[in-house]
Amino acid sequence: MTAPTTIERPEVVDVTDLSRPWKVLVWDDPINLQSYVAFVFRSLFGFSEEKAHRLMMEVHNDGRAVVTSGPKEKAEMDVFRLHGHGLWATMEHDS
Amino acid sequence: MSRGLPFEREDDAVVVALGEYEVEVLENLIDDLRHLLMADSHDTLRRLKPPAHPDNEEAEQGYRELVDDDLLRGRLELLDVVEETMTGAVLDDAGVAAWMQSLNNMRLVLGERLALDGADLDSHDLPEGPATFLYEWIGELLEFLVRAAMPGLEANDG
Repeated sequence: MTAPTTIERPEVVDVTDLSRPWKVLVWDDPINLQSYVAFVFRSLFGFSEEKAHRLMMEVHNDGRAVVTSGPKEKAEMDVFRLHGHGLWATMEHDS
Repeated sequence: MSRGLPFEREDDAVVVALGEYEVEVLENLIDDLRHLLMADSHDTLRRLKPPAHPDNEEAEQGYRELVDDDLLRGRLELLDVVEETMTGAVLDDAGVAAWMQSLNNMRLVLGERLALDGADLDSHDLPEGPATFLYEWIGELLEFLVRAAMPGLEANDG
């Protein structure tokens, strides 16, 4: 491997953005069965039965629930996995 | 004729126990979903691609570019697994996941079709007809599969 001849200047990033975690929300959709949603929470994130059920009920009753949070890449991966399982997930910056 | 459950628990595995007619209907739904996925433009796919960043167009575009191909490929691969395990197959965890996600994908498409036709999916009063029948039947299969698969999840706890 040869050494690069030029060094790219990194993009300027807002430091405060990096320090705030992202949260992953799941939204209620009448098509998704409650049992399936709880099963997905358990199998994807290893939640206990009790926690998965509580979050599922929160989605059902309140219309949404925060299921995970963390750095952007992790949140993006969680959203991607939830989308793969057909759940309506979004991510937003924690305020 | 007595009819058993569509999915049965046997020791550590889930066994597909669908009847001949059920397999036939499912095969049609699989073909249907595969064509829709590959055409990739149909309105009924809306629920399969929910936005990750509904309020940020630029971030959403970046996310779609990152994941859409993988989501599509993954869904097609899962359908292949289901198609290969329709009759009497013993499913491992990956097989269970393929069936579960595929059944849910079918339900999302069938449900979106009903919604586009004006049905209120929140109500228990869906219009009578084949579309509603299929939507509810797929939901029933999924419910039975979740129940059959649950002990496997419990075994992995802790």
